[in-house]
Amino acid sequence: MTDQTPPDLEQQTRQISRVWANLPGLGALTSVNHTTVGLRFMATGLVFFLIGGLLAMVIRTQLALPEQAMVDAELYSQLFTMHGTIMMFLFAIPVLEGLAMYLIPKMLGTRDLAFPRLSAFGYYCYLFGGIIVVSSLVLEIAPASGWFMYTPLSSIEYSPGPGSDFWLLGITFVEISAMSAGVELVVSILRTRAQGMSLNRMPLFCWYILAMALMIIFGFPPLILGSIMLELERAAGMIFFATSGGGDPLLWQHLFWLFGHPEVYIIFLPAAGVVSTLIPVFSGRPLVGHHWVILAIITMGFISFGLWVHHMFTVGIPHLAQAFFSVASMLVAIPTAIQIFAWLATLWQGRVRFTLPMLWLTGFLLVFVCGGLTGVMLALVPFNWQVHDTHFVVAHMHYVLVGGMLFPLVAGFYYWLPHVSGRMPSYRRGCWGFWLFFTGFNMTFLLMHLTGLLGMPRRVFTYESGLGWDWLNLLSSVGGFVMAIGVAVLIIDLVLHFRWGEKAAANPWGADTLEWAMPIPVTTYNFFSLPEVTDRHPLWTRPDTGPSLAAGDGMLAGAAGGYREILLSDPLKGKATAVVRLPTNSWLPLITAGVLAVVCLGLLTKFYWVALAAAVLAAGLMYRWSWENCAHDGEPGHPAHQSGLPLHYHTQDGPGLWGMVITLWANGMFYISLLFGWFYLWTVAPEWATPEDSPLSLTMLVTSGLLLTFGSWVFHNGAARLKAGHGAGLECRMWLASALALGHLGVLVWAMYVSGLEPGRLAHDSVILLVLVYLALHGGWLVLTSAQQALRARAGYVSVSLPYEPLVVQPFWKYTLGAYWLAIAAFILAPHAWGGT
Amino acid sequence: MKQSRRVAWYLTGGLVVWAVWFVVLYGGLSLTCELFPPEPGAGPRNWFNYLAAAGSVLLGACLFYLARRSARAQAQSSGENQSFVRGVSVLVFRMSGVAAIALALPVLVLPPCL
Repeated sequence: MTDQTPPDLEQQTRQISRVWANLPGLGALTSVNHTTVGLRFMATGLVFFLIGGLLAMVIRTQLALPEQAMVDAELYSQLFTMHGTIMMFLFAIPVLEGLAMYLIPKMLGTRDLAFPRLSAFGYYCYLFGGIIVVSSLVLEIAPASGWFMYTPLSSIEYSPGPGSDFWLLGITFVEISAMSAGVELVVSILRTRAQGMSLNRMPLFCWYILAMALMIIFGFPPLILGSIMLELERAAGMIFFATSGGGDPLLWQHLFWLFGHPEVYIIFLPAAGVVSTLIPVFSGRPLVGHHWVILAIITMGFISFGLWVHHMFTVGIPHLAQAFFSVASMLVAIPTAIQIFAWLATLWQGRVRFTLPMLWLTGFLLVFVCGGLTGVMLALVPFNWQVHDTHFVVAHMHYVLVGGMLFPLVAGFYYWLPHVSGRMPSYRRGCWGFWLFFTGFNMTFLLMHLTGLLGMPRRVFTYESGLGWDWLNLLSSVGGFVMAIGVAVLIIDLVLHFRWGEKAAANPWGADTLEWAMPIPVTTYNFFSLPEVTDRHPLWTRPDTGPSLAAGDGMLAGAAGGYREILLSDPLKGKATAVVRLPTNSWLPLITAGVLAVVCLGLLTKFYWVALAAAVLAAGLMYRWSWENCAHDGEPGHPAHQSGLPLHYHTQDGPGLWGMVITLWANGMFYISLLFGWFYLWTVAPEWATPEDSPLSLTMLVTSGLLLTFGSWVFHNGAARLKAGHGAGLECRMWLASALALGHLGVLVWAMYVSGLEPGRLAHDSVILLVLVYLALHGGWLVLTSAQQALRARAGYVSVSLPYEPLVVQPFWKYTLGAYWLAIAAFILAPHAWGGT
Repeated sequence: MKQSRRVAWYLTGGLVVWAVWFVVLYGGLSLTCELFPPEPGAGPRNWFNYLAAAGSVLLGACLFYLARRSARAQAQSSGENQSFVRGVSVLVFRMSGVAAIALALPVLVLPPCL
C-alpha cells in the first residue's frame, strides 16, 4: 500500500501521462503505444471493409439479372479477386490483430505490448501494403486470378499484366505486419502478465489470441514462400510452378492452402474469444467448461493445419489421402461443438441480459452453426465434388466467415465502445443495424446455397436466363443491398454515438476482466499502478480494483524515473521477475516501413536498382533500430530498479530472447515449406529433371559450412563465458565470429557464382538457388549482428552486468548452423544418395 | 525455460504427436504410391494399410496411456496452476488419441493409390 497525499498522486499521474503521451500534430505518426496502434489497425481495417463491401455491391448488381453487361468478364474477375483479397487480408486479419493489440495488455494488467515499435512498424507495413494492393484497382490493373491466385492462371503466361505482381508483393508486405503482430502477441501473453496471473487465471480471450498468434507464426510462412516463388517465376523466369522444366502448379495450391485453411481459424479464434468473453458477462456467471474450452482452442490450433487438402479434393489426389483430410475436417467439428455447447450451457445456467452485444452474439450462434453444418457437408468427398466451385461454396464461406467473425466482432465492438468513447451505444439504433444486417445477410447467402445446388458456378460474370437461377440471384442481390443499408446504419450509429451517446459509468457491463479496471475513455498508460491477480475473475472478486490501482496501490506505480515501464513475468505462474523499459515514440517504424514500401514499388515497376538501394537503406535503418533498443541504462555498475526487481537487460531471459525464438519458429516453418516444395517437386512433378552433373562444388559448400560451424562455436563460447560472469575478450570473440561468418558468406556466394545453375531451365536449379540465397541472407545477418555485438561490447552496452543481447543473437547462430547442414543433406547429398545428382 | 518446455509438452504434446503422425501418413502414402505402389486389385488389404492401421492404433493407445499418467499426476498435484495444466493435458492427450485412431478408419475400406 502506498500512502500518498492527493497532490502527490496528481503530480505523479501527470508525469505518467506525460511519459506515455503521443506527440501532438505530425508527431502522432511516431506513436508506438498499443492503444493507438490497435485503434489505427481497426480504423484502417474498417476503411478497407467499406471498399471491399462496395466491390461486393457491384458484383451483386451485376448478378441481379441474367445477361447483364454492367461490367465485363475481365473487370468482374478483378472485382471478385479484390473483394476476397481485401476482405481476407486487409480487413479480417488486421482488424482482429488490432483488437488483440488493443485489448491484450489491458486484459493482462500491463501497460503495453512487449515490442511497441514492432507494433507501429506492423501497422505501417499493413497500411502501405494495403494502399499498394488497392491502388491496382484504381489503376485498372488489379489482379484477376481469384483471391487464392492459382497457378497457372496467375502465372506470366495467362496473367501477363502487373495485377498478379501487385497481389504477390503487396500481400507479402502486409504479411510482414501479421508476422510482427504474431510474435508480439505471443511474447506479450507469455511474458508480460500481471503479478499472479498464472496460466489458469489468464482470461480466455488471451488463450484464443495466443492460439491465433501461434497459428499466424506457423501458418503465414508457407504463403510468403509461395508468393516469393511465384514472383520469382513471373519476374525472373525461375521455375517452380510451370510444368515444363520440372515445376508443378499444384505446389502453389499446397502452399496456399497450408496457409489458407488455418487462416479461417486465425480469423475465427479471436472472434470466438470475444464470444467467450462476452457470454459470461451477460450471463452473470463464469463460462461453463473452462478446461474444455481451452482444450478446444488448442485442438483447433493443431487440427486446422490438417485440413488444407480438403480445398483440393478435385485435383486428383488418391482417395485414401482425401479420406485422411476428410476425417481431419470432421474432427475439427469436435472442438467447435465443445465451444458452442459451453456457450449454450453458460447462457442456460446464467441470468441473461439481452443487451446490444448479446443480440449480435445470438445472430452469431445462428449463422455460425449453419455455416459449420455446411462445412461438415463439404468435408464429405462425394458431396464436395458435386458442389465444388459453385455458389454453394461461396455461401458456406460467407456463413462461416461473416457468421464466425463479423457478428462477434460487431458484438465486441459495441461491448468495448465505451472503453474508447466513454459513452454507451444506443440500443434502438443498434437494433435497426442488427436486424437490417441479419435479414440482408440471410437473404443473400441462404438463397445462394440453393443457387449453388442448382449448379451455378462461382466466378462467372453473367448467366443465361431460364436456368432456374434468376429469382434466386435477384433476391440475393436485394438482400445484399439490405445488408449494405445495415452497415450504413451501424456507421451512422457510431458517428452519432460519439456526440450523443449516454456517458458510461465505470465497468458499465459488470465485466470480470481487467480492461475495465481503468478510467474510461482509456489513458495511454492503462494503469497508474499494475494489478496483482488472485483469481480468474478479478473484477467480480474485487470490484474496487480500478480505483485502488488509480490510487497507486498496485505495483510499479507511476513513472518516477521518466521511463515507460512494464513488468516481465514468469510464463507459467505469472510471478514478476523483472522490469522492462520500453522504447518511446519513434520515427523509425514509419520510416523503415516507408523505405520497404519503396522496395515493393521498385520491384513492381521493375526499377530493380531503386529496390536494391531501398533494401540496403532499410537494412541500415533496422541496424539503427536495434542499436537504440532500450537494453542499456548508460550507467556503470548494476543499478537496481526502485521496485527491487532487476531491469530486463540485466537478466538472461528477457523478452528479446523469446521474440527471437518465436521469430525463428516462423523462419523454420518457411524453411520446412521450402523442404516440402523440394521433395514435392522431386517426387510428384511430372517433368522433374536433374542436371547431369552436380552444379555445385561439395568441397566449397563443406568449407563454407566449416567456417560457419567454427564461427558458431566462437560466438557460443563468448556468450557462455558472459553468462558465467567472464567478460574478458568478449569484443574479440564477437569480431572473430563476425569474420568467420563473413568467410562463410564469401565462400557460399562464390560457390553460387561459379556453380552454373540454370534456374531459367530447371526447377531443380531454381530451388537450389533459392535455398542458397536463403542461407546467404542468414550468413549476412550473422556478419552484421556479430559485428554489432562487438561494437556494443566496446561501447559498454554488453558486459557481464548486461549479458542480454548476445543471448538474444545466440539462437540465430544455432538456427543458421542447423539450417545450413540440413540444406547440404537434403538438397545436395540426398539426391546423390538417391542416384540423382 | 525448462519448466516452460515441460508445460508446453503437457498442453500440446499429444497434438504435436498427432500432427507428426498425420504428416507421416500423408507423406508416406504419397511416397508409397510413387515408389512402391501396392497391387490395386488387393483393395484395402495391403502392407501400407496394415502398417497405417497398426501405427494409428498403437499411437492412439500410447496417447491414452499418457492421458492416464497425466490424470494420476493431476490427482497428486499440489498447486492450482499445476492441477490446471495437468487437467487440460489429460483432455489433450485423450483428444489426440481419438484423433489418431480416427485416422485409421479410412485405411479399413480404401486402397491407397487409387
